[in-house]
Amino acid sequence: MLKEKTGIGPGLLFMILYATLFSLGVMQSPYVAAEYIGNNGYWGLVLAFVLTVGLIILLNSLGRKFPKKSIIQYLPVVCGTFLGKILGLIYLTFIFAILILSSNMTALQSGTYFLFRTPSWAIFLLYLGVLTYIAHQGIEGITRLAAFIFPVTFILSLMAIGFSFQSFELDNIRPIFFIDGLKIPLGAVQLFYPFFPLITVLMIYPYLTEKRKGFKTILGATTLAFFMILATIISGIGNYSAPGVLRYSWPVIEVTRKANLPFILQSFGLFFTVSWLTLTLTGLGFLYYILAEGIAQLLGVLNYKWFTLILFPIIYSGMILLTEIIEVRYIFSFFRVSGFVFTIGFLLFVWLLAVIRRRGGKKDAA
Amino acid sequence: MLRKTLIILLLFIIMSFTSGCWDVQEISRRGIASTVFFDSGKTSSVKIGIVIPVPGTQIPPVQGTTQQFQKRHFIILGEGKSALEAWTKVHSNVATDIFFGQIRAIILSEEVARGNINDVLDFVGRFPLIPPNTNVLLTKNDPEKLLDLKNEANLLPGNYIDFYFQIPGKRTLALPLDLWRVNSIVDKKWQDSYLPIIEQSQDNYRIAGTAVFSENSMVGELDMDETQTLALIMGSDLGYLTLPLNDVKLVAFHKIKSQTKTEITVSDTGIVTFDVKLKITGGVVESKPQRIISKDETERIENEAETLTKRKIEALLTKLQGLNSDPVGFGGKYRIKYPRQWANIDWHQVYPVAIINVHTKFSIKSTGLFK
Repeated sequence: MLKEKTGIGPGLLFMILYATLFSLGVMQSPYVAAEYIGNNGYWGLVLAFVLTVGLIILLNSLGRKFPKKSIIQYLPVVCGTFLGKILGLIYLTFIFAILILSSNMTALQSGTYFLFRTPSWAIFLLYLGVLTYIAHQGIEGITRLAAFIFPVTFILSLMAIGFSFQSFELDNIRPIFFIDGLKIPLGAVQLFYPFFPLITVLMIYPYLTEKRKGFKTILGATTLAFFMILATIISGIGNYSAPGVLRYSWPVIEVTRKANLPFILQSFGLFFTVSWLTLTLTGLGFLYYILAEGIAQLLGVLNYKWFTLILFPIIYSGMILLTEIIEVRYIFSFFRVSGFVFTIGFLLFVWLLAVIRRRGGKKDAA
Repeated sequence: MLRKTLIILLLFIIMSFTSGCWDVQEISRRGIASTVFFDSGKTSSVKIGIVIPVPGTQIPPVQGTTQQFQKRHFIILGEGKSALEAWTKVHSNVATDIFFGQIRAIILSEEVARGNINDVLDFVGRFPLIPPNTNVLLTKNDPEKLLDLKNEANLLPGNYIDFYFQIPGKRTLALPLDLWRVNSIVDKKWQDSYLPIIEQSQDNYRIAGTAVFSENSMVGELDMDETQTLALIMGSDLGYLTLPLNDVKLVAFHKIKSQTKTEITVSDTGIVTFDVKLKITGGVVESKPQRIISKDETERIENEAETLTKRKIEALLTKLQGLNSDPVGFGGKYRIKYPRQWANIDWHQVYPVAIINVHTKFSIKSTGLFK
């Protein structure tokens, strides 16, 4: 493992987690909420967040058991060498899948709104080049980038989401407490996807300088991202109604685009899109780094900097394979459910095994 | 040194693929569309017209010179089996690239509106550049002749319409509806669409009245007075009301503000009843004959206003039920209170026979500069 010169403090961890969670989770969340639950689809995200708190407890517990090791390093200790390596590979494959799908959707969204004639391969190449550069900076460089962009992007996003409530109709999000069978719990499974990137904490926990603040920091970043995404879902459904949201490929862009202050600012859409894209590239760069670092640790050769270059053609090929928006939506719907099962199942399995086999604690801290 | 050189080389390679190279477009190459209208063609099914400003006429003439062009816009038409085919015919008639990013209004002819507006607006709604806040209107005139008119202010038709609806006091004369909101109402299915009507009047555009729809097809229209009543029910803040007290006496109000509360009950036998309660306030803007309005007369005026508004609202709702059009959104109230039953009913069978009870409360908020 390439040793960083310094670690990352709670503030930097907060920034990178918020950037990743918000950017990857916000764009399709009103659509998913409206499709699987309906007019009170926001409850699905609330329930998913409650589950996430448990997930964060597990993450923190595993981190404290192995404070100086990443998950790739302690999986063989917990599960045995062979199974540990296999699980490590599965973990990295999951990160790879999040990276491919999210970067693909980001590029398709840019192609829809701004770059009509630019070929998909050029957009993918440009974005992947940016991600590679960001990932190449290492964990400290990425987190400092996230901290740098946080104030402006947060304020612009908050303003755009706030002003998107301009034409909000309360009746569109009612009945608020209507329970229609198992729609809300099943919808919560679908809406858990914004919290998938939390699993990357298992890789960067060793870099935390103040590990006792780890739980609060992770919970804080997740809570902020949760409230922002929740506000976006409520705004989307409150403006268009649930059936209305389902018309759009990118309902969040639409709801910010129509926020219009005459004579002051014609549309907030562009400001929100720029902020979101900045956060997304940072978040995806972070995922790329995690993947590169993980592979380096798994194989025990070279370092993450080499793997950011080695993985480039593989990730590019993955992005090129999915160029049809309908195909991407179809795969995404399965990915949300399988990702939920994997995230919860994987963490629970590793944690239980660590507890049963009494792995972790002081003897594994070195 | 080698590393820096490699990075610079990489940056040059990336910049050469910078996406602006494909999507760059000079502004002078754009034919900026101001308004688009849809009509039924003579030979084919879809007729599209696009209003384009004459280049150079948007800037006022230099002092001492005269404007070269009499009119500041022109129309290009296209007909085809589909909206896209019609649009390509329009495209083939101009040297520039038609740009929809600054469209101010979409106008539908009555014939098209009596079809399915969801289908008509699907084409224009899929363009990513079209502003979602574009006004959508209906005309009973020939839209080509209407928009070809040089209005007295010589404004582009789209600008005229946009400026009109930016004035709050006009929004009760013809209820404005943006493109995104039309799509939202169409999708919701617990409310019906309504569109403001535009027509030619006194060498200008007159925007007054409302076309009402039932399940995405136009079924009738409301005149300006009925539109103001509809605005009352939906909640307005700058309406108008004239109250005749007898053959010679009248009081007129502006800044009519209304707040509506609607309660629904469904009896065991399935009879749906709505109780609509309106709180209306207004400021006196005209009193004929001119006089000081005393406290006793205030009470009488308020009672008369309550009776008049109640009568108008009841008449309007009866008309709307007769047309099976629900622009107010009573269906939404049903859906909120009885969500399980909502999934099993056809609202357009329930709505026409629903009982709607109206209760109004009117109070005079101000009397202007005079007492």
